[in-house]
Amino acid sequence: MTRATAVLAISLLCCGARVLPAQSRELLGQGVKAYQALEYDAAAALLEQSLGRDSASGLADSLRARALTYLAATELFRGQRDSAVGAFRQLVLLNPRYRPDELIFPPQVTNLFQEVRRATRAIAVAVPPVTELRTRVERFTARVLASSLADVAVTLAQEDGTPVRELYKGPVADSVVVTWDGLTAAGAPADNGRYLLRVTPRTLTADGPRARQVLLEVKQERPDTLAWPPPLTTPPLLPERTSSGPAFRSLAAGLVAGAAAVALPSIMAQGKDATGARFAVGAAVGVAGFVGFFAHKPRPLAANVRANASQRDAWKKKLDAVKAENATRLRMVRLVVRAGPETIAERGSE
Amino acid sequence: MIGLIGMLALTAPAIAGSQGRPTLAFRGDAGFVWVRSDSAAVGTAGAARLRGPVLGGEGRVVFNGFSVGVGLLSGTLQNGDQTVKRDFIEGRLLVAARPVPWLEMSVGPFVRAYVTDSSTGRWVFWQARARVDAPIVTASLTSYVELWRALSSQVNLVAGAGRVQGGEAGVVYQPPQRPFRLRLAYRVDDAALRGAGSGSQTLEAISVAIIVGGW
Repeated sequence: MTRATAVLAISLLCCGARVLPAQSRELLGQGVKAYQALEYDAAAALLEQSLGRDSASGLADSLRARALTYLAATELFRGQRDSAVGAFRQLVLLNPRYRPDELIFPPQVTNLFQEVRRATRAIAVAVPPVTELRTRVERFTARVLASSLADVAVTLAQEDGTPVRELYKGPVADSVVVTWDGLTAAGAPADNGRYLLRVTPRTLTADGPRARQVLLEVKQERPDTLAWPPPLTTPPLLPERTSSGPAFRSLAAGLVAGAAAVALPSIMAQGKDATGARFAVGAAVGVAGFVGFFAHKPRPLAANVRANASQRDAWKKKLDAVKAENATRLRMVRLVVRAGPETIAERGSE
Repeated sequence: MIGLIGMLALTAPAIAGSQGRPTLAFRGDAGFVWVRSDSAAVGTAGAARLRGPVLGGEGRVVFNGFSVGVGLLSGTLQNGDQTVKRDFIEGRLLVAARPVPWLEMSVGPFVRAYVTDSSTGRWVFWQARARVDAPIVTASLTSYVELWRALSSQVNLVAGAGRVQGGEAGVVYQPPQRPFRLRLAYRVDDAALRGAGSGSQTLEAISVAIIVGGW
């Protein structure tokens, strides 16, 4: 087994073959076993191979941190202290909060790690892959990690670098949670687009931590709004004035009867001269019609006016409530934030 | 008379079957009548114009949309220079029904007489009447128009009676908190004598009346 492992390690080193993620995990497991068997040369070869020469080796960050820890310990026990320091430095940069397990690794390993951690100033940012939030009331969260005390600024910018909002400015001893309510600095919901969440050291030094950034793809989802209450009509509104119908019916009754009185001789006694008496009666009846018209003239119905006023008030309150609710809903735009991988920000963009 | 008996016989079942108690109503009339006669329609030779005040009244028994009534109107008419004088008497019996509140239909005999010391000119005819009431101010002011026509007519003149028809229009006022109503009316009757050129008699009347009880 030991020999086979050594042969495998040597053959891998010689071939320099590109490894797949599944193979990387296998190599990591074999490397750990070789380390535990005190076969440090083979362990170093296997672990280096599992890590790969580029970031495409496929190991997840947690496995990568494990591989780097074992590699650093292996190199330390091989007497390659510089290589061990280099592996630990990579580990700190990968995850500033990572700590080797003191039950697994002896003090000389953990002490070296602490020494390297203190010397290596690194920051990182961790975000959930997908966050859905309602602007103003819910928040997108990002955890900013630091290997040692760091003074950072966390900003949100458009992909072209245009600042959108500063989210945090201050020290990070170990980690700090930064939240974003989905609004720009102007208070408006963020538009659809790609944004950069950037963690930048506020004091730039040669050995200081490098800025980190995460690409955020933001998409708005407009909320449904409530329909306005239907306008008030009659009914349920009550008539506020009496109808003009009775007034005109009264007028018509008087005028028709008056006209009939005047016209009766012409209808019933054609060709006969009639006295002027019919005009007196016709006029009286006609005047009665006008009296009836004015008696029935449309007038306000105070009780109905009051009842309608309360109905209108209730309707207006309902309308105002719907408007307020819609305004609230429109202010609370729903955002879907999809996070890309964390990357090191370009120097020019810091 | 036979017609009146038949009419009462027809309305008797309705009276007996009616649920409400019959009520009485009275009307007192005061008015002025103008009569214009061509030829001998009023028993005078040639055309005559008579006029004069009249008084009268009518009583009714009213029950559930039906009513039976009797009326009388009389006065003295004379011509302009007061050389011709006639006593004027009208009487009628009627049976009326209100199929709808705004319509009254009635039928009955009607008698009109012009009386002198020596002779009496008498018209008798059966009338069919239709009256339409149109409220002007609910329950206090109502206008109405009534038209009638004679179903048959007789006159004790040589020429005989022809077409007889007429109409009335007026307004009825119910004073507030009063048990009576006031009526102002104008009516015209035209009675033609049979035969071409026989002439006719036209009566106009204006009257005020006081009505007590449901009409």
